[in-house]
Amino acid sequence: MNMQDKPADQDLLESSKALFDGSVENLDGATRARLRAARERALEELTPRTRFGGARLWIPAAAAAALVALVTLPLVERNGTGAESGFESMAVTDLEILLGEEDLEMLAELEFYEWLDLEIPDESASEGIDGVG
Amino acid sequence: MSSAAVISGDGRLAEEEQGRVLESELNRFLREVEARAYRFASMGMGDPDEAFDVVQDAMINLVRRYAKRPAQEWRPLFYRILSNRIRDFHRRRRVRDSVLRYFGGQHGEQPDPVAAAADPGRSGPEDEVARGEAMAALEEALAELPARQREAFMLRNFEGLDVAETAAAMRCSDGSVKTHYSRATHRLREKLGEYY
Repeated sequence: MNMQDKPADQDLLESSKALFDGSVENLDGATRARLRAARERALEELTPRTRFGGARLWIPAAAAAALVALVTLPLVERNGTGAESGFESMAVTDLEILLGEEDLEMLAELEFYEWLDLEIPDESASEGIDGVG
Repeated sequence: MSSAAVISGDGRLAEEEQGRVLESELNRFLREVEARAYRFASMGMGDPDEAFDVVQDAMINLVRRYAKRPAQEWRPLFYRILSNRIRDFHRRRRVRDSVLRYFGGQHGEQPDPVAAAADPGRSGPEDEVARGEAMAALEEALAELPARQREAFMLRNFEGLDVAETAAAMRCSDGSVKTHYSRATHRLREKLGEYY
């Protein structure tokens, strides 16, 4: 590039940059809003680990787990005196009640049992009156 | 509370504060570059919709992969990602155009540079027309440049990156940047002589 080219190049560079800058300034609101949303979406990529500089998030979780272990272990050990501890039998009983097939069936037919409860006394009363056997 | 717990708590607060500062700095950086990057991509690709996707992708990748890098490195890194995506776009389009030609289809849809030109200013109608024409001519001339020359010219002249930053963004040597930039300038002057 010789010295004579300089002013012409300078003009080209400045004019083209001015055009580019103008086109940036004149971007419409909708495009700017889309870009803002894109930026916010990108910033969501700052995971908690990055955002807080590698904060040790496992510490609270580990503390909570340790607390649960501290509370439950002595209970289990204290009750575990025989072949079956109270803690275990209580848990098994609850489980049996919760999972018992008959109880679930009864729950499903609760309306029928309520109707039965109301109807049976009337029938026995009428049997008594009529004396039909 | 033990002294260890106090130190640990203070450390966590300091880390959270650092995280907030990082987010704030990244937000400021992206806000500064987003509109320029969009126009940069739009002019480099000739497709405003694809340009938007490419800018969003570059933002996400910068945050995901380079947030922890020193802030002064973000700019060349961001433009490196953006330039790579623009290059990928052109590569895909070349392949698509080749396939279309092979099967006797259309010769690839070339964007109309006038239609793709940005809204030209808000001054008088004559100025608007003149600026619109100049912009369309610039975009057309840029589109005709080899990709590396276009990249070098836009990064150096529009984005104001210095030679080293441009080289980092383009993943090439300083010497290559100078050559690409010089050739681009020369060719643009030949093409756009009537406007400048």
